[in-house]
Amino acid sequence: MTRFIVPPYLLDHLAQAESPRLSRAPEAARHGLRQLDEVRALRSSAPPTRQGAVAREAALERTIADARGTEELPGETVRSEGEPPTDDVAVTEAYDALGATHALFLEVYGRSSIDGEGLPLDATVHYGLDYDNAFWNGERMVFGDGDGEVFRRFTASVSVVGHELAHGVTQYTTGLEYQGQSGALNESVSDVFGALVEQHLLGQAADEASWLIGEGLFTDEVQGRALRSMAAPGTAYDDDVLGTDPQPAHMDDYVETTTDSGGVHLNSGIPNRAFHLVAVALGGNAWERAGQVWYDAITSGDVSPTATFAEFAAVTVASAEARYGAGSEEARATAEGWRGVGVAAAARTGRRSS
Amino acid sequence: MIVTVQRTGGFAGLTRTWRVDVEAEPDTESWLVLIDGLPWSSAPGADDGSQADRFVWVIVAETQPVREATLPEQQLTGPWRELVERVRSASSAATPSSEAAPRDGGTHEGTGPHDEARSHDRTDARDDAGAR
Repeated sequence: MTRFIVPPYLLDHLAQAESPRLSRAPEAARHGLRQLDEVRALRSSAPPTRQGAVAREAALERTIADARGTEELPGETVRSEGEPPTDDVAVTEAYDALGATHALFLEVYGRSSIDGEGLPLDATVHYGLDYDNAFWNGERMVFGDGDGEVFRRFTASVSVVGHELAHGVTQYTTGLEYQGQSGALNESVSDVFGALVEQHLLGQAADEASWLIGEGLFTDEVQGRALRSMAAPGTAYDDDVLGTDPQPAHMDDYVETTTDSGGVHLNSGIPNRAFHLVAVALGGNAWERAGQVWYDAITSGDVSPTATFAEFAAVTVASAEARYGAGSEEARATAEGWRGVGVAAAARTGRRSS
Repeated sequence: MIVTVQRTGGFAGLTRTWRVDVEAEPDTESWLVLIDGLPWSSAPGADDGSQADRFVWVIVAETQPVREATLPEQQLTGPWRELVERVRSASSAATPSSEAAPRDGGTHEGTGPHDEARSHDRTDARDDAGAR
């Protein structure tokens, strides 16, 4: 059983210290806090009789398969965990990005793989022909190669891989229905953690990151940097064939539509921007506090599958208050972030808002 | 008689539209037989929600009355897929349109701007090989 001599509140204080005479202590404290969180998470996710299985549950087990241009899944296994890189760049990109995603969830949030219990991570590349897409099918991530004119291969962006894997996390946590506002939240959660995987991998703080989703997917022919911008929804691309990035950045511009499952990839811009506002208000690395609040929210059990933006906002504020205190900088920044996009956190009438 | 195929959703959330006037096609009769034989009233319908970022296909045939079907990508099989592939193939011979969902939220009719220099026709033709 692990015990810590230095109490968590003191580690917290030290982790946020910015004195010029402290160089390694704050990071050491943050490391200690992460270990504490990992142990807590493993305790809560693993049944008591499996304490001895902690090491196995935290293990990473990746398998990459190749569909060889067909639509047959899973495809042929071409790289298993621990094997060296092949000469297929899509396989390498998928393998490495799965590892980066696993690392974010384990090292920062103490979550062992997407289900919290070490679920093996599977991906299939080279799906279909000129397939302009990537998706999560309930069991694995699947990636196309793009058409080579508008889109490159979909493994070329770490944020895409993280986004798809995060759909799996949603499947095991909130189960947000893929329609309307709950669907836009589902999409936003994937963009949030997709961006955090990339930022964590590259060691980028909130004010250094691009906050772009799918940067590197477009060919040079396209006038656009990425598919979505979390910092400025609606500005990611402006191209004569694709059109203009249609994402709204505020509830005033919420898109009512029947296409795209009720606009789940459109209206995700609103909660995306809310997260961005929280992250830059708090500063530092976005995965540490803003990301922690969002992670706490999706694992709280208080987000219903049909949650609206207002309901989700309320859970994030409650999560920030629970971890950092009512009236804390983090709780205030969370509420402000939602206000900034025109979402008023719903009044909480009980443990579960419906 | 116009048949419109619209592909929405996907990771990119882009909307692409293909359109053909079957009466302007050389084999109009085979088109009408195909369209007539589709199970319009029992089309699969809305997505099952378990597969995120998949495409959603909306097919509209301007028959009398108008017939419409919405299919999640994984259920675009058999005669539905055949119709979509034929529309895309025939449409690429005309002016292709590729439109993002409009900012005002309404359904968007009419072709969007296209870039001949981009050789978008080639994209559609290559797409047909995989019929994605």
